[in-house]
Amino acid sequence: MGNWFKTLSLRQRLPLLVGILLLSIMITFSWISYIGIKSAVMKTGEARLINLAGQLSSMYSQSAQTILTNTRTAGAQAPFIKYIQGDTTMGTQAREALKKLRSDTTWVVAELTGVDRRPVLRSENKSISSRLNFDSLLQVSALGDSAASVGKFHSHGDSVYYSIIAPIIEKKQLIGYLVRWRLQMTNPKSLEQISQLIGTNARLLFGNKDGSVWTDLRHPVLFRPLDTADLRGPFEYNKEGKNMIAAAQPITHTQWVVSVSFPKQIVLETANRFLKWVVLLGIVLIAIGLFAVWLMSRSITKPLNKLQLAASAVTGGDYSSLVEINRNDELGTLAAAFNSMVNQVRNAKEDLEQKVTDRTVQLEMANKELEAFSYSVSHDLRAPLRAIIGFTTMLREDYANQLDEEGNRITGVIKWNTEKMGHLIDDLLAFFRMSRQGIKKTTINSDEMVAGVINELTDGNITGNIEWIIHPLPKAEGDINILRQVWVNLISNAVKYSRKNERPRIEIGAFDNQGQTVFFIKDNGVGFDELYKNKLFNVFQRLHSDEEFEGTGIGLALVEKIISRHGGKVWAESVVDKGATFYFSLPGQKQLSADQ
Amino acid sequence: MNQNLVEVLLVEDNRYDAELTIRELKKHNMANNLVHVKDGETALEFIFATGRFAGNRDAGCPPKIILLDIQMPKVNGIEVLQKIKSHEILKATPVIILTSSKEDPDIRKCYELGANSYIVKPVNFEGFAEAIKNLGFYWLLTNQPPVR
Repeated sequence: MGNWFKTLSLRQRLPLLVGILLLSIMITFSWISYIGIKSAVMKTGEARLINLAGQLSSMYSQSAQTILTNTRTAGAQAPFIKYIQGDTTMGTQAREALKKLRSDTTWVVAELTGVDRRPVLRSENKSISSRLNFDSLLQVSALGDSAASVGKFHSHGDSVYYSIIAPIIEKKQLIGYLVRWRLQMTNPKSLEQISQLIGTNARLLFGNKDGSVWTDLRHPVLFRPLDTADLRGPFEYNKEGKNMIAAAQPITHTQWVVSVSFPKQIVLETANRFLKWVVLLGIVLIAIGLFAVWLMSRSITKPLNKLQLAASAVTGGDYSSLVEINRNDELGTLAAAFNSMVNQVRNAKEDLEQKVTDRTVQLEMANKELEAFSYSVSHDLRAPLRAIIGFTTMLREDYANQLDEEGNRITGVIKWNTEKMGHLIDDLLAFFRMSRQGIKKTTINSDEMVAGVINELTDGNITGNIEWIIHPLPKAEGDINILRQVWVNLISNAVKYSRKNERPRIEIGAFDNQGQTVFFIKDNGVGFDELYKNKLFNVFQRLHSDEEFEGTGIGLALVEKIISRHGGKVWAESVVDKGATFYFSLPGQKQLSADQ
Repeated sequence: MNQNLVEVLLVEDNRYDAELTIRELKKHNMANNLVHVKDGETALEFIFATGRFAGNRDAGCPPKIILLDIQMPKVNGIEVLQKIKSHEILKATPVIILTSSKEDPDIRKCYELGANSYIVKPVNFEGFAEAIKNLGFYWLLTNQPPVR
C-alpha cells in the first residue's frame, strides 16, 4: 500500500488524501447525527403513540360511560321493573321500550334477564341472534352485581360483538339485568375522523385486556396477546414483514385495551430523509473539495513541472530557459531562487569558460614559448659545443706532436666535458618533450620489448658475462615508443651499476598487485643507500659520482614521468653493494600472458 | 676558381661549423670547388647570379649540391630552399639541409618543399665528421646528378 502510494504523482496523491479525509469525516458525522436524530425521532414517535393511546383510551372510556349510564337509566324505567316483577300487562310496553333501545342495526339484541341471567324478554335482530348463542356468552361474562359494565369482545364470523349489562334495582334489591348486545361496526365516517386524528398510516386496534379478541372496529383481526409490560411502554411487532411500533392503554369502564401502532419506517422517515440529504450534501462537498484540491495541486504541480523542465534544460546545458512563475507564495520564491541560481550558474560557467579559454591561450603561449625555448636550446647551445669539440679535436689532430701528455689530457678533459654537456642537453630536452607529448596506448608485448631492449643494449651479445634471468611477462597497456624508454633506462641502469660485480646478474619479472601489474628489474650491482631514495627520481639528482658511474641524472626522472603519465607508480629497493630492485606498476591489464 | 664550376655551395652562418665542414670535405678531397656564403641573401644572389654575383657567373650552371643551414640571419634556409625548389631549372639541384637539432619544427616543411636530405649535425666531432664525409661521398660521388 505504502509503496503503491509512493508511485502516485503529487497531483494524484493530494486529492486522494483529501478525498479519503473528507469521506471519513462525512461518514462519521452523518452517522453520528443520523443515530442522534433517529433516537430523537423514535422518542418523539413513541411519546406520540403513548399520548395517542391515552387520548383514545379516555375518549372511549367516556363514550363507554355514557352508554353505561344510558343503559342503567333505561333499565330503571317502570315497564321493565314491573315486567320483571311479574306484571305481564307491561309486556307490550316493555317490549316497545326494548325495541327502542335497539336504535340502529348495530344493536342486535336488547333483553331483560332475571337475577339468574335467564332472559325473560328479548328484542332482537333474528338473522344475527339466531347465529349466536348470546345466552351462553352472557353466562361467562363477568358481571358485577350492582355495577353496569361493558363486556368483552366476542367474535363471530367476521363480526365482533360486545355486551352492555346494567343491573335493574328496585328498592335496593337487584331484580334483574338489562342486557344489550352490539355489533362493533364503527361507520366509515367516524373511522375517517379517527384516522385523521391519529394519522393515516397509524393502525388502531381494540381488544380484550386478556388479548383474546382484537378488532379494527369493524372486523376481528389477529394480533398478538399483550402483557402488563406492553401497557407501560411502547413495543414493537412485525406485520407482513414491516416493523411496527405500538403503544397500548386500557380503557376504563370496559374490559378493553386500545392499541395504536405506526410502521417504524414512517417514524424513521425523517431520520432517513435527513440521512439521504446528508449523504447527498456530503457527495457534493467531497466533489467540491476534490475539485478544489485538484485545482490546488495543479497549481502546485504545474509550476513544479515548469521548474523540472527548466532544471532539465539547465542540466542539458541550456541556461536561457528561466522559469516564469508570478506568484507570491513559496513556489514563487522557489522559482525566483531557481532563476537566480541558473543565472549564477550561467555566470559562473561563462566565467569558467572565459577563464579556461584565457588559461588555454596562456598555456598555448607558454607551450609555444617552451617549444621555441627548447628549439633554441637544442640549436644554439649545441653549435658552440660542436665548435669546442671540433676545434679541440682539430688541436689534437693537427698539433698532436706539439702537445705533451698533460696537454693531451687537458684537451681530452675539454672534449669529455663538452660531450657530457651535449648529453645533458639531449636528455633534458627528452625529459621536457615527455611532458608535452601525448600518449597513444596500445597493447604491448612486454616479452618482445624487453628482449629487443636487451639485444640493443648488449649489441646482440646476450651471452656476455651478465646472467639474464627473464621471467615471462604480461602484456602491458601503454605508448609503445615511450614505454620502451622506461625499459631502456632501467635495464641500462642495471647493466651499468652491476658491471663492477664479477658475476653480474639481472632478473626481470612481473607480479600482480591489487589488479595492477608490477614489473621489476633486479640487479646485484652496487645498489644505493635507501636513505636517499626520495632523491632517486628527481632531475639531476645522482647517488653516485660521475667518476664511478657516468650519467646525467635524468634517466630515472624520465622513467618516473613516463610511468606517472601512464597512471602507474615507480619505486625502488636496495641494499648497498648487494643490488637494487626497481619496480614500476601499470594499470589496465589484468591477465598475465597466456604462456605464464 | 671558376664560379660556374662550383661543386659544393655551403650556406652556413656559423663560421666554426663552416670551418669544420670544409675541413672534413677537404680531408676527403671534396672541397676543391666549394663556395661558402654566410647568409641566405648572399646564397640567393649567388645561385641566381644577382646582386654581388651579377655578371660574375651564369645562373644556368648551378652547383652540384647545396648544403643549407636553416637558422640564418636575414633570409633563412627555408626561404632559400623555397626559391630554389620553385625554380624550373634549379629545382633539380640536390639540397641537403643541415641543422643543429632534431627538435627542429621545420623538418617536415623542408621535405614538403623538396629538400633532398636532412642531416642533424651531431655535437660530437667524430659523428659530425662521419656525417659530412658520408654526405660528400654520396652526393658528389655516388649520386648521379641531373644531366645539364
